[in-house]
Amino acid sequence: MVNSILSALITPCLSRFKALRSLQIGAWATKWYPTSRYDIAMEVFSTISSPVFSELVIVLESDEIDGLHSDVELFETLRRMNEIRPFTLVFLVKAEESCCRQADVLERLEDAIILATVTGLLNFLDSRPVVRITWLSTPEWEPVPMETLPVRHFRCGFVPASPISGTSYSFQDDRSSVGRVSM
Amino acid sequence: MDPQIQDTVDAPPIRVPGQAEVYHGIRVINGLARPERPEASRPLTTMTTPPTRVPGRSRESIPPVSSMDHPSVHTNDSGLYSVRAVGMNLSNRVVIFWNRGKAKINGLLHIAPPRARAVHDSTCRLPHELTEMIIAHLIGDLHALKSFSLICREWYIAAVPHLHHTLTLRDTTPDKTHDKLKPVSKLHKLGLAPLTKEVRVIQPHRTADHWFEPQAFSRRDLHHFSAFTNVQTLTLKEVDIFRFMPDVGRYFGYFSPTLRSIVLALPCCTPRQLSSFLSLFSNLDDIYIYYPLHGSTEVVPDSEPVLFSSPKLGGRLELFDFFWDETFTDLANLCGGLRFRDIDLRNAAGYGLILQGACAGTLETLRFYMPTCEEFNVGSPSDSS
Repeated sequence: MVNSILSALITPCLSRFKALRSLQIGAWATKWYPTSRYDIAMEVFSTISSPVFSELVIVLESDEIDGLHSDVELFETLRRMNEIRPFTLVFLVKAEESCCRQADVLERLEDAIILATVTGLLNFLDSRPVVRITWLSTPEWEPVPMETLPVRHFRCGFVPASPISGTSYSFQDDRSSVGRVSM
Repeated sequence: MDPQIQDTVDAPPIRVPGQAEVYHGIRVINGLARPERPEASRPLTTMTTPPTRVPGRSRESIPPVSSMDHPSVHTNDSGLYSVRAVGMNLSNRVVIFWNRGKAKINGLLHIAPPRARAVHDSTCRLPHELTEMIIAHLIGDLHALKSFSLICREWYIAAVPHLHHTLTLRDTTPDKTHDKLKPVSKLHKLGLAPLTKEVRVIQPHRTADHWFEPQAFSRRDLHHFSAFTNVQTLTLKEVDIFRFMPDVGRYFGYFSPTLRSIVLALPCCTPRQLSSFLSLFSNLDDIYIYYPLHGSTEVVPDSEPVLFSSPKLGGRLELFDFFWDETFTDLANLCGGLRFRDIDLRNAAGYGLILQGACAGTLETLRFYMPTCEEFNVGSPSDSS
């Protein structure tokens, strides 16, 4: 009951966007009711009516890569989505330039996808999944410590966790690596 | 050996009495002449001029001039042969050997005559594409880029747009406000202001130390700002926009024709003031707003928005922790709808307006984040049971 109410509150309807090509879904690893998380994704996806829609992007933080292949429910949700509307699956990793090496991130992500492929979690796809890395170049200022932000700033008491808040001050770099995982 | 050349060398010399002739640096008076061989009259420079040096090629890679390829060398050899044949006196022989030795030394040292320099200049330049490739590797490293620009004038010209691409105004000197605007006047003085594509104003996260406010601008500073005619991105971190109201055009209007992208981190103003500020830039495409701060009504006076122009707003919209529907309602009314192509909303109540059709015809990419428990104050998953 609670899940359905919350889902109705936060689920955007995408049926009006006739030019929508790509839907990007982020914060998969958030502490949410596991079933609701995928229900929400399904519900949002099912409202898409754009004739040019072709791409579903799973946005991952760099520390979420390693547990990707073990998230069976995610791939099951993706399979159900693909039955509704076929798409090209893209894994987009947001990595900070200062703490990651491009080759390492790519290698970890490719390993995770290969593991998922070997175990048959990606069998439903018609085409190979695509890998992208967005490098977040650290700006010249330090991220503001969250505890110093005024409380009135956050509605409903939401205080983002520190790693996420750090990236919120970063800007998407033009340099993004794109690769395609061989299956 | 080439039989034709062999024949020429072995031909008997013809003596022309009383005629002086230059034989490759050997001035022979009443000597021998070889009128049947036109190459015999070549001047000295043809022999002593070294082959043109190509940058990047080692000396060994330059093919040596062989006697078979260069007829003048034959002439020289044959000249010696001819001199011997008639029994030239000792002093003339000494002159011959002296000049030959000098020519060989010059050849070894690659002493080129002045006319060869023009060819040398045109070949020593690095192709512009390679220079750009080097710069592409140095763009993130300002110190290396500075060193690169000191190599030569050509490299300086290639590097200078990247050196001055971003102007950052920050609190390097805590005492004087006007010192913080010094880079502006310095760039203006050197005529480099048009090269700046991005202006960043970085203020510390302490309200008491904020210095970027109208009082910081002298008339001269405002004049210097007018020279920044190519700024495309404006980044303001913790700027009290309300302090610039309502004369915001006086301070930021110079960027209006060229500004495409604006980044506001923790801006302090009211929603209506924000829409007024954004409407100042008629060509604005991309908007990034992070954690806007609504000052208390005592500090931040709100008023009816003064909308200056209708921005394009056809690029990317990124809102983090943004709940001011009034801002984009004003802009949508002003512009007759929003036309963003990419939208990224995190903990932003933009769904109310934006996702109800404001960008229906243009939106191509939507980034949607899963909600968190804290976002709706529902507690942890374990509490729900």
